[in-house]
Amino acid sequence: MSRLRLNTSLTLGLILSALLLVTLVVPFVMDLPDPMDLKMTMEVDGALKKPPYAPGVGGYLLGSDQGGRDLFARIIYGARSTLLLGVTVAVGRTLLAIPLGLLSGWYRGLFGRAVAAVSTGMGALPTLVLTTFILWSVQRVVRADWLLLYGGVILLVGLPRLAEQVRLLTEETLTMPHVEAAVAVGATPLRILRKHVLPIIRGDILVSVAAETAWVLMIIGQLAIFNIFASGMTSIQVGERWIILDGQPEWGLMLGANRDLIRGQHWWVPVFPAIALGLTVACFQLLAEGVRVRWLRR
Amino acid sequence: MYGLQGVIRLWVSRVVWFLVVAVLAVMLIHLRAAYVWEERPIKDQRGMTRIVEMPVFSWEEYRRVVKAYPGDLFAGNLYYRTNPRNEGTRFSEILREAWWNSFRLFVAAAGIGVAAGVLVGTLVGLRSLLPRVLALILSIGGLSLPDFLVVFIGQAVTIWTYRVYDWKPWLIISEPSLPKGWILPLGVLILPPLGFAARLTASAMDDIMRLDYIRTARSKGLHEVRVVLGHALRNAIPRILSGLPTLLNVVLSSMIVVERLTAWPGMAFWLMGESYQSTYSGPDGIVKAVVGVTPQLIATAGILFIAWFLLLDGLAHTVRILFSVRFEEVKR
Repeated sequence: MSRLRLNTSLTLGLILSALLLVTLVVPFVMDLPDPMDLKMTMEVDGALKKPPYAPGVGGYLLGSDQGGRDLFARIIYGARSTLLLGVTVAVGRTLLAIPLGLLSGWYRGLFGRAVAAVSTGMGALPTLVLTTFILWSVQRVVRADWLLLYGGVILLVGLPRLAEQVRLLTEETLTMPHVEAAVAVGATPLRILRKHVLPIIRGDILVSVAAETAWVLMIIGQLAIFNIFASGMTSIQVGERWIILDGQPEWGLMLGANRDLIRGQHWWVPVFPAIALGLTVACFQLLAEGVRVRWLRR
Repeated sequence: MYGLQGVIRLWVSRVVWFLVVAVLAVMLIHLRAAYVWEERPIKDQRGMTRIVEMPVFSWEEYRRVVKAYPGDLFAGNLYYRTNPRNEGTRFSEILREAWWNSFRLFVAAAGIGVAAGVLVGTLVGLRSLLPRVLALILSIGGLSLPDFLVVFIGQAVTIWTYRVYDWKPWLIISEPSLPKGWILPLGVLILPPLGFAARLTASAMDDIMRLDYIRTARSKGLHEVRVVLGHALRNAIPRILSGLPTLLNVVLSSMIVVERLTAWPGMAFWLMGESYQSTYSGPDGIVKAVVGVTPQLIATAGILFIAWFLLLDGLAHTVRILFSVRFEEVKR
């Protein structure tokens, strides 16, 4: 069972990664429509129609959004910004969690207990609820750039949990004979952590980066469902009326801002970005799971 | 004895955490209520200065609303209003109904998901290919696919079947009073515990089925089903229970998203709701009031949710502690 599962997880993860890579490369090799190009009317079967246009109609492979913008192009271009945000937050969180976990694992005492306590305390609420509470509340007080605040809060909310994982791994590694030998010969704490502990746990940390990326992308999608987006909406004037549309292509924004359209029969507008984001989350989760059991055997 | 000590320590820490987190959550949520409307000059796109009324955060107002909240909460003076002229509905009544709806969904999803997951995982012990593949698909699908994607696909499927066959296998918007209204939210929420329990059980069964006592049981001529259910599954239970806290956490988190997307009348609306400024003409002229899901209501729903979350987490850990102690005693 385990061998079957591991290979399948890794294989599926790698297939999805290849697809993701293709998505990132496509804009460089294919001539795609501008993802911000509006088309408010189109002739279909001799009649003028308003967007959103259905998939396959008028050359729109995946249909269009409410502004007549090509959904396929928006999803392809949206991959860059979504992944950039997800990976940046995940890597940033890991980079902060490593020293925090290593030092609290080494010094234990109050420092170690503080990391464990904050991690438990933050675990007293589901991450989505906690992130939403903080973002909604803090934006009134902190006058910072929204993207910075958004990324910063997501980064910090998951930081104690990851630091606690590193702390536990560090404590486990510190009991190994080679570390005890290093302590006995008088190596400094920094040297022990850098040369004897970090190399042992770096595999787990690499896996964590993949798992954290999946986690961050998942939160981006879930936050979008509650109208909390990384980037903003834009309004355009069409004749007498104004239409509010999602702005720059980003998967979370595209699925969250258009989620109610599914009830109005225009299912493709939120569903395709959701599929893109969902499969990317699955890709990183499968990669983390596959690598963990294949190489780390935990 | 050790088990009892562990349980007492666990519950004391849970109570302390509840108090700390509840106070912090109330203080955090009230930041949203602490603003006053002030006229501020702003420059528009043409460079013209205009006087616009804007919400400005005020520490004085913050202290006032935070101080007033416990009194309102304990006196039951919290009301849900959509219009400032109406008296509104007492929030405790609304919250009770919302919690009951969420609780029913949660219990059904966790119960069915865990039971089905353990069943699928146990079948792995029978060493045939089909249960293995099934457990694999469920564990990958249930744990890797995000909840919002499964809901969207479920909604898209029902739209498609309605268009093509004039038939709805389930409702897009959930309705607790109709069986069809349960299918989509319950189906989506069952997936994570099902996948998680199937994976835990399958991996435990995989290890246990290789042990000597299983070989002995087989050599004595016991039927394979009895070996799996009577010997292997019994000893796999502590490992399954060790994943219970994570499992409940996953279901509760997903529940918020599923409730929102399927419009289930549960806690999510109150936890993640939004308030808005409403104006009306009163006897004293134009009056402004904050109505809708105000920060006070969100804080109250938040306290209930934290209590529920910690209670379930504590119960899951208690079961795990008691079972692992019993398991150790049996082993000795």
